[in-house]
Amino acid sequence: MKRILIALLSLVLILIPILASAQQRGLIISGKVTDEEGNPLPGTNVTIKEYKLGASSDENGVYRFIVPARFMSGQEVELTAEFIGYHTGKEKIVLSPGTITKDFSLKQDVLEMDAVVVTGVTKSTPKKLLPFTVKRVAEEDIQMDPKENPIENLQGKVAGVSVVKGSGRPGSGLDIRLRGSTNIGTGNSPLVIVDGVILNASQVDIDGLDVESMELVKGPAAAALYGSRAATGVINIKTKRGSFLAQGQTRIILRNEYGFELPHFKPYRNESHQYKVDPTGTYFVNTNGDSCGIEDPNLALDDLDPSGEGLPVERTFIDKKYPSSIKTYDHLKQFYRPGQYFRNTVTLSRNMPGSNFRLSISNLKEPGIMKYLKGYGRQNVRINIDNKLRDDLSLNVGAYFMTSWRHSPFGDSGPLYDFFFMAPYTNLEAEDENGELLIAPDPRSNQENPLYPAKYLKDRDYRRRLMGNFNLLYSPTNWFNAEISFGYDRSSTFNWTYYKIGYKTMLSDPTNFGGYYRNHSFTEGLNGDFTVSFLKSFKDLSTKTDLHIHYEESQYQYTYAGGDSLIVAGVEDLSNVNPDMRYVNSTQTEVRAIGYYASTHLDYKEKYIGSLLLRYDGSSLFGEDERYHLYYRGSVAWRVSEEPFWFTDKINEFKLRASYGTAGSRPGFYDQYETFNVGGGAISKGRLGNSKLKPAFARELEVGVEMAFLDRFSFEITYSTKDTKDQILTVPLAGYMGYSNEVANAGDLKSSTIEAELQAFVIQKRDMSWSIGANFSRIREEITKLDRPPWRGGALDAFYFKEGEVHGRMYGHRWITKYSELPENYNKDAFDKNDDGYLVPVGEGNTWKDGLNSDGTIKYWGTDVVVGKDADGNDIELDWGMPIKYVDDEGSDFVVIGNVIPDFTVGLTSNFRWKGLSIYMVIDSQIGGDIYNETRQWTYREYRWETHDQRGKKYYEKKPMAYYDILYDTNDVNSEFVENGTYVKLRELSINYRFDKKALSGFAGGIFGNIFHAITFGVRGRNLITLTKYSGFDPEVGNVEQRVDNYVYPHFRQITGVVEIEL
Amino acid sequence: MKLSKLFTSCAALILIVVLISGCHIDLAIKNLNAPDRARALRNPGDVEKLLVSSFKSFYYALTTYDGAGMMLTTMADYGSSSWGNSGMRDMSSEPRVAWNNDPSYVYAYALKYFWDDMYGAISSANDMLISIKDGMKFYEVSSTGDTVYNTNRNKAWAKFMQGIAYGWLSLLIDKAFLVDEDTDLEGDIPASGYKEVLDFAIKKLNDCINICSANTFTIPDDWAPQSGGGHAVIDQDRLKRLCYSYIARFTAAVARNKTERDAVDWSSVKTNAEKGIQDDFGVYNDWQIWWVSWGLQWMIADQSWMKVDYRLIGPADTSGAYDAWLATDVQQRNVFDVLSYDRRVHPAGDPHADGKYFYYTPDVFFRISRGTYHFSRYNCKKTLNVHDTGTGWVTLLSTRELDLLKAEAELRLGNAQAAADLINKTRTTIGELPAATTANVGAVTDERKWNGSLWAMLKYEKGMETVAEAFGIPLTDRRGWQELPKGTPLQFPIPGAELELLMMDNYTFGGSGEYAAPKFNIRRTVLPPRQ
Repeated sequence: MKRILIALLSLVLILIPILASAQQRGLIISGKVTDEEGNPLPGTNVTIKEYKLGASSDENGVYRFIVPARFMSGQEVELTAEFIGYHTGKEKIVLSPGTITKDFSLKQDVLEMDAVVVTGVTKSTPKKLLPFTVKRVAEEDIQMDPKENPIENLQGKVAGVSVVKGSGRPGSGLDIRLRGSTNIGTGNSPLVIVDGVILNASQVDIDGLDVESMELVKGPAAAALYGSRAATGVINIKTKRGSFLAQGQTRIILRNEYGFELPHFKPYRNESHQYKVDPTGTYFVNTNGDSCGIEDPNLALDDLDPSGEGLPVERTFIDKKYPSSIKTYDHLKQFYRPGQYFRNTVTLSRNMPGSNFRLSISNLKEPGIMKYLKGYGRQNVRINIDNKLRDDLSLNVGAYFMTSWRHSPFGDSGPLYDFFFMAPYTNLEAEDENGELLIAPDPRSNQENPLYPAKYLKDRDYRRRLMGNFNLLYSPTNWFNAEISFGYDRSSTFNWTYYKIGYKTMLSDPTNFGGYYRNHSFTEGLNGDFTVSFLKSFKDLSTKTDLHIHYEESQYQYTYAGGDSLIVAGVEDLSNVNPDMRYVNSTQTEVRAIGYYASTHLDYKEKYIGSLLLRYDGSSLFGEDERYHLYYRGSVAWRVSEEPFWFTDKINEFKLRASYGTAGSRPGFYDQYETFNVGGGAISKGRLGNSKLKPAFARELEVGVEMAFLDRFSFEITYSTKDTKDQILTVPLAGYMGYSNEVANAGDLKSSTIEAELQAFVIQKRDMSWSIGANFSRIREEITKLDRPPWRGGALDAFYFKEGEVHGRMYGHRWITKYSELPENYNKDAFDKNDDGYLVPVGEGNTWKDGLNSDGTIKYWGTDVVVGKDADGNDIELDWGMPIKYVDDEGSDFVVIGNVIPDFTVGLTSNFRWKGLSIYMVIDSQIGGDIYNETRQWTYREYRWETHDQRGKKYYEKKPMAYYDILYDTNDVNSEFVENGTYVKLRELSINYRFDKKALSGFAGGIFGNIFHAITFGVRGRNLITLTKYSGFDPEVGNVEQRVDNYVYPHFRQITGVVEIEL
Repeated sequence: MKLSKLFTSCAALILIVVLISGCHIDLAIKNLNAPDRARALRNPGDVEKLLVSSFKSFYYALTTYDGAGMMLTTMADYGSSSWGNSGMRDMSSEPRVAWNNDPSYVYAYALKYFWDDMYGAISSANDMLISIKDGMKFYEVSSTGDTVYNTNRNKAWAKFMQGIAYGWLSLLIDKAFLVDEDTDLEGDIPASGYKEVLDFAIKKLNDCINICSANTFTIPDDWAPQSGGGHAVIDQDRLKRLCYSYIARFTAAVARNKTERDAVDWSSVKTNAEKGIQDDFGVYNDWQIWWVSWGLQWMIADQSWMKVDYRLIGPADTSGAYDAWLATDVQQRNVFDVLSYDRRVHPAGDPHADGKYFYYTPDVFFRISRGTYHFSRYNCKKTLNVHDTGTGWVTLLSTRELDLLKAEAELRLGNAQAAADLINKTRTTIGELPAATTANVGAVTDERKWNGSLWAMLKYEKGMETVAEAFGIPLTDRRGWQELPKGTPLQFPIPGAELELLMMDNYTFGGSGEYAAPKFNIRRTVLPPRQ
């Protein structure tokens, strides 16, 4: 790497003196830029592109710059005026000494056909000239409700993008996948780049307030440019700069957001019990017939027929109100509380001739909703500086520093596990004689009080993030430029956990003697790029060609130290750990990669468009025999609407495009190596090495149609099919090999995606506008080949990976719901479908309603039903009314029970503006797709879900305890807990009123107008309404590929007010 | 001007070429975190450390949460649990079910872990023996400056590990692959039946005995920690005795049923047992290097996870409650208090106070619908210290077990008094029970009872002394004594995932009939050839 750096630095040093030249008398170009209605457009970039000369307009829309004499030979050039959201203005001028005045009146580009993208393309390219999909999420769609993590702003806004925030815990990251899955075993997170910095750690540290735009390249058909790491797509984030201000303008923005985080879920709780109560309804009764409290180990079940043959739980119903001596508690109130959210930001920006900068400082505190937990806090600073060092040399630098903390004794999951086991009579806030919360407040349960760790377990995560970027662009001629850029990303995390001496657990545990643990990790990544570009037009044929070298390296270091059994109470120091109980651990990894590519973009009359790319890429993560690989892309587009034969001007744009590209996915650091595990004074065989490990190789074909019509609508539909071969998978080895497995290229995964986006500009007036966006996605996936035995894996081992399997299907036990599913030797007439939809044995002539008599006494519950004869002629008896497991033709009860892949997803955005008022709304929906509700399943063990409450049900609807025990199924994955994940969610609602300078001047004699540039008042609501039949707290659980709800920190509602003052 | 620009551009291009061709980026990065085979087997000291892991792997196979220990204990009805974890419930449910050998079975890991870890132990031992075959010398310089050669010590320990690992495979699995330092792993390795596997194990243990007889050495205490538990370090003599002990144990325990156990060469068992250990063998857990989180020894001490099964502790009862329990339909059985003269159960006069081995835990957290026959009010104290602190001694093979094995041999060889004497070594001292006599010798099929026939008392005593110690032996004892509930698998198949990998037909045992191996439907998956 050092040699690369020295070489690149040498290049800079060599080039600068060579290019030094003096400016002589030149041409002064000036003018004014306005919109169609004559309003000035401050911050418009007016340039002569081929010479990189130009300026941005000031607050009055006025621009002015000088063309040095050395550029002049009387030639004609094009002067362009560019302002985001407007069509580019173009004027021909002749370069000769003197002055020229050129005014521009720009027309609004509501359909964004002239909007430029930079991701995955050869130089920056207008959207209309793209032969593949690059989705740009503009500032407006981010800054109407800037999230703490900008990736969250993608939810519901982009077709083909799945974003799941699996936990509501403040500071949690998101799982994101672009289009269908690429990898089975190595994750599908896209490559994320921020201002040229390749992120080597979580995206959670980036502040959404800083983001100007995001560009998404969804698959290899577009992302081939990023080589062996881009099969899962790329998200390129661009942060705000001072260049968007008017020339000479300085802007200070003070933004304060304050509000509340509120639990909004209902208590899914069984409010009844199953025990005997004395005739007065005051006390329980034990097996001796004595009155007793809940703590009596001999508490008697209210068995409706104690002389019956079956188990008492087959005749006992949870339908009794707690006796009057038993107090019950509202656990939601005991466990949750509203949190006070605040976020303060100061931004200072300035745009001067030749340079601009933007400095932002932000402070965030998000406490969440859980009692005793302090939540998440973050402070961050970003500065971006652009400087035009000379006419042909410009420098952009940026730096970002972030520090955050998080109180996290439970991690992302955990708290609800114990919470849901707590019976209504359990007082979570009960204290012992020392005033300490009880660890076991429920005498009938072996579960811990969830409030106990929340209050007494000290656990904090600290994160630090430093990022820097540097970009030097040298443009000596109008057909050639060179660019050097570097990105640096350093992330360090620190976590400590402290158990006080005497820390209680339900089971004896070494932490009862106290414990102290610290771990520290840091990731440091550096990426450098050197690009030379050639831009040349041959009459109507425009060409852009890039030659590029890319280098990246990253290091990861992890150190852990800690131990159980503290010597002295209250001392949080490793030296306080009993020397015999200390342990340490460390990890270090390093990754290097280099890539070379050449790409060219051609367009003929902006009508026929083509693009070619070749990239040769190497990475240290591949086996030593497979370090380098070639990737490529070829794309074409035809703007049919530019043809002379195009028949209507109602359709402004009609483009057909197709692209085929390849990209790779890299294995993990350890995967290529043969490893012997070291630990505990010994070494043992780990994984067998694989020198032939190569990238998973994704090939994608993307075809699409783009159209714009009636000047108000744009529509785009894309079909993508992606085949990723050589999946990187763990392949087991025979036991006698000693090594348990190796990592090998051992399978293929195919996915296809249909995406459609519609943008409608319903109203476009000076004082009023209203735009609506809609997006649709449909994804299908299949494992087409597997060179290893099938395996059960993923969350809860609920997924079965085998050849020919639909990726995303859940497997487990299934309860019979159809007569055709009954074994052949069963008498079908002995069954009836109950109100849960299960086919249950009831005996010939009976119905599922016959379990109890109308007076509440037992009729059939607890009895056996003969349903047929076995092969030996013996009766087959089943428990009356109980669900039966389905066994398939092959004799297996491990069968398909669901599929997490939605039928389709739809997102809607609405942006309404009337004078200073703006209302922004995002609705996100998923239609179909299953969720496995493990949270609910666990409650079945203790009968805590509302389903178990039989009180108030009609006599024939009541089910005994055993019915739910069967469905619990020893916590095996089964169909009872597969739920439809369909939802419609009002994800964002933002209402703002902006008083601009003019409006402010109308108050208090214009004093406000003199002081402030603008003041905005706003109200934000997040997670306001969710329409779903899903029984859990929120259908947004798990991750994109494995939708399993396992008692995570629930999502909550957030309502805040914002005041933004611009000076 | 234009020339200057052109020159500049050309210079830049030249630099690019230089950069591309001149900067060789080294993409070969060393994994600093873990050694590869070359590094791990290069230095004698490292190969020795690999051998240390061999015994660890063996220890974990039997005792950890993921291993087979918990399941084997509930199958044998020494421990009782209706929680599903690690197959505890499935394999002890009544009526008994077959072992589900489908790799997708949710608790398939319990058997697979046992299999893999036993082979992990064998593989590491093989590596040591291969290194010795290849001429690697193992020595150290003593504090007096003398060179001490350890090659024979290491060879002996490696043979011991091969022996006990294959021995355990022969006890529980119907077939195994015989792989040692002379095996070509790339070649075709057939599966051998359990009797062949036992012969192979005994051969390795005899190899170890021969080395021990010809050499003097001491096994480092950190290879199998003994001293922390107050036990003697392992020298060549103790290792030899361990080999004899294991040969005796395996010879008797390999029997799949009463017929096979009856046919065991009990003279050989007696002879080997007599040459066996004089001090318990086990592991001292220090919570750091040697520890078993959530292992069997932890679970059976923890009232919320596992109870002591009434089939073990019930025969100590004098109140008649156990007899009533036995007479009750299995599905109707429920908790009762044991009233006993055995001080291992409770002290005199206080049936709820802690006995020497067991303690009273009236709360039962198991689900009623999973069978109240799983319920019990007792837990085992033997490993309570390990449960509470993570540290402490865990016995793997005790002199008491060996004595009782000898007692069985004596009984079968017609030496009832000798058997009674051996039984009384613990019965009268620890249990504080009246001495067993030869008044009623009885038969192997007699129900275990604290005061029954000599056979009944032998079985009773063996249960008391091996629970929470001799992991897996309760199952092998009970199958050989024909005590297991009908349908209990008498052995396990090669794990389904292994069969699938090796493209062999899946099969299983247990579930119905008279200890039968019924048909079991498992989807056959054909593995494509490796590329």
